[in-house]
Amino acid sequence: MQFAGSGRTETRAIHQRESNGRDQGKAWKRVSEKLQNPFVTLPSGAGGTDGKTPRHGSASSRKDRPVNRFTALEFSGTAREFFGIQFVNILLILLTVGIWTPWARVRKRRFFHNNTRILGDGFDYLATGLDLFKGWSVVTLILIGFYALPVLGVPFLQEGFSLALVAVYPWAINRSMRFNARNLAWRDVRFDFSGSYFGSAWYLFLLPLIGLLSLGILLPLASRGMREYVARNYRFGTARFSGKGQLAHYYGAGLRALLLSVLLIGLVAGLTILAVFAIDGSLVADPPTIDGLAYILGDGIGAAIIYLVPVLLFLIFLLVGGYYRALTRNIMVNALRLQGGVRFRSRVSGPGLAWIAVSNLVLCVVTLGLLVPWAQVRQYRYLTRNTEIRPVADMQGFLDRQIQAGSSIGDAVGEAGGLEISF
Amino acid sequence: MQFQGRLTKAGTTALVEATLRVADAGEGGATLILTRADMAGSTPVTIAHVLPKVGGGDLRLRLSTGDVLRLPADMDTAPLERFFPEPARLGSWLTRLETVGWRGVLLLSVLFLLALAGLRLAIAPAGDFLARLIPDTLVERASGLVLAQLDLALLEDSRLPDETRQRLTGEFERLRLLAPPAFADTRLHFRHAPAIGPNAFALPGHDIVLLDELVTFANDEDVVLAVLAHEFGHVVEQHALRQIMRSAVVAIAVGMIVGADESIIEEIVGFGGNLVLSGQSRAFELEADHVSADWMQRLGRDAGALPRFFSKLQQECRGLCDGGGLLATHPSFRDRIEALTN
Repeated sequence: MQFAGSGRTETRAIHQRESNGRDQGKAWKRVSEKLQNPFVTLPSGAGGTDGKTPRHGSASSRKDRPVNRFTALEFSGTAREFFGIQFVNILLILLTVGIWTPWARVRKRRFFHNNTRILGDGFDYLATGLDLFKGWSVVTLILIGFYALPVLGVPFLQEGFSLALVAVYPWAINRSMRFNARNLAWRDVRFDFSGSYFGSAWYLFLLPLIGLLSLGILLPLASRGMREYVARNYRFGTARFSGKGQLAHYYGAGLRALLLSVLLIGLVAGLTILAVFAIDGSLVADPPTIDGLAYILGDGIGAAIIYLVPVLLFLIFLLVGGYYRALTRNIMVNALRLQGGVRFRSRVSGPGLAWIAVSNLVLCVVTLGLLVPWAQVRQYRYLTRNTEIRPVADMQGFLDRQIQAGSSIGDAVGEAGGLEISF
Repeated sequence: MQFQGRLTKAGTTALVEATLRVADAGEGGATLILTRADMAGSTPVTIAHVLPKVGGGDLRLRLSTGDVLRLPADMDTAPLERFFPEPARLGSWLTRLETVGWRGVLLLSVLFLLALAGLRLAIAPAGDFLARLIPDTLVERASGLVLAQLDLALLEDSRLPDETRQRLTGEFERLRLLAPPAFADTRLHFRHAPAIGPNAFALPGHDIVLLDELVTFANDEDVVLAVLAHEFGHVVEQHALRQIMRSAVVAIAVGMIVGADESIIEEIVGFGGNLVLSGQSRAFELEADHVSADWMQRLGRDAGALPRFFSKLQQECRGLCDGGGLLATHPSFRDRIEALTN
C-alpha cells in the first residue's frame, strides 16, 4: 500500500512538470489542431456503439490511469461467455470427429488472453486454428502410428518408443513456449521465449524429478529453478524479463506446505483410527492381523473408510499443491522485473487458491462437468485479479522484434502430453 | 458511421486514440477513413487482417498502414464486417453462435448432457464394431506379441510333470471340439509364475495361458477344466479384444471432449470412463462363467466345480481378495457363485 501512495504523488509531480512545458511552447499548436482535426470535437465514448458505456476505460478516463504504481490486472471475461465458447467447441469437435480441436484450442486461449487486460488493453493471441492444425495433425498421425506399433510384432517396441518420446519432450516444450510466446502480443509487441534444449531438460524435467526423488527436500530448489528459468528466458519485444527470488523464501513456502500436509494427514489418520475404534476397539490394541482387517472390511463403516481415505488423501494432495503453488508464485512474481523498470506483484493467498482448486473439482464432478467452464474462469479470474503490475510511463516505449513464430508442432506435443507450463 | 478505438503504432506499444469512419457516398463510397488524435487530417485505409472477438475480448484490426486498431468488445462492429478480408467472416459467425443468453446456456447444457449420455451408451457398440474391423491376422500377431512380452518379463516355463500336461492337453481338446469352428485352433500355453499366483488368462487372440500355480492350488481336474472353459468363453466371445477397443473408444472420447483442458479434469473424466469399463468387464466375467457352466454340463462333467473353486479362493484369503468393488474388473466371488448356482 505504501508503494501505491508514494507512486501517486510521484505521478502527479511528473504530470505537472510536463504540462508546464507544454503550456508555454505548444499553445498555438493546440489551437490550430483544434481547427484542423475533427477528432477533437468527437463525443467521448465510442462512436459506433448504441450508447452503452464501453467495458474498459474510454478516452476520458485514460488521463487518470495510474502510472508508476501497482495496479491489478483486469479480467473482463465472464463464465457465461466461456460456457458458450467451450460447449460450442465440444459440439463442433464431436461433429467433426476431432478435427476441430486446434481451432477449439485457439478460441479458448484467445478468450483468456484477450480478456486479460493491462491498462485496459487485452493480450492478443495471434495464432490461427490452421497454424495449430499443422502441428496437431503431425502429432495425431504419430500417435496413431504409436498405437499401431504392436502390429509389427516386435516385443517392447512401444516401450522403447515411449522412452524416445521422453527425449523429445524438452525440445517440444521449448518450441511450444516459443510458439505461444511469439503469438502473444500486447498492443503490437509480441513476447518471445528463448529456452534451450538442455535448459528445459534440466529445469523443467530433471530438477523437478530430483526434487521428488529427494523426498521433497530439494523440491523448493527445483521450484525456484523452474520458475526463474521460464522468467529469464521470456522477453517482451526487445525487453527482457528477469527474476531472482531468495532460495530461503522458497524453502519457507515448502516448509509451510509440509506443515499443512502433516496437519491434514494427521487429521485424516486420527479420524480413521476413531472410526475403527467405533467398530471394535480391541482391534487397535493388538497388532493388526489379516482376520482383523477382514472383520473391518465386512463392516459397512469400515468399507466406507477404505474407499473414503484415498479420496481424502487425493483432496489433501490437491489442497497442499494449490497452497504451495500460490506461495511460490507470489515469491517469483514479486521478484520479476521487466527491463525498463516494470515490476510485478502477486497477492494470491495460499488457502484461497487451495480452496478454489478443491471446491472447483468437487463441483465439476458433482455436476458431471457442466461447471468446468465456470470453474476455469473462476480460478483464472482469481489469479489475474491478484496479480499486479507497476507500469512505467504508460508503457509506451516497447518495441517488437519482428520474428517469425515458427511451427506449432511443439505446442501439439505439449498438449498431447498434458503439459502446461506458464508463468 | 464512426468507430472510436485505440490505435497502436506498428510494432510498438505507443498508443493514440483514433476513429475509423465509413466514407459518405460523396467521398467515394465504400471506403474507410482513419483519423488519429495525434495527427491532423485523415487517411483512407483498408483492413488487412482481423482477429475476431472471442467472448468479451476486443476486436483487433490490422490496418493497411500497419498499425493496429482495437475496438472495444461491446461496440457494434457488424457494419464494419463488409470491409473484412474474406477469412475473418467465419470467425464473426462463430462469435454469434457462441454468444448465448441464459436460455442458450440451458440448451447447451442439455445438449452436452445428451452427448455425454450418448457417448456412455456408444462405448460398447462402438468398441465392438471396431473389434470386428480388425483383421484376424493382426489380432493373432498382437496376441503373440503380448505373450512374448509376458514371457520376457513375468512368466517362466511350466514345471508341471509331462504327464499332467499331456492329460490337461487332452481335456483341452474336448473343449476345442465344443468351440465354434473359427475358434477350433485355440492354443493352450503352460507357464509358471510364482509372482502371480493361481490364475489363468485369455489373450486377445486364440491363446489361453494356464499357470502351474492354479493346477497345484485347485488339485482337482474338474476345477482346472472349468477354469479353462471359462477362459475359452473369453476367447469365443472375443472379450479381450472388445475390451481393448472399448477402452480405446473411451480414451478417444475423453481426449476429444476435455483434451484441450487441464490434465486434472482429463484424469477425472478418464476415471469416470474407467468406472463404465470395469462395469462392462465384470459383465464379461459373468458371461464367461456362464459359458464354462454350459460346456461343463455338455461334457457331462461337474458343473459345480467353478463355484467350488471360488469358495476355496474366498476361504484362502479370508474375504480380502473378494473384490467386486466399483473399480474391480471381476465381480466378487459371492456374486459369481450366486450367478452360477441360479
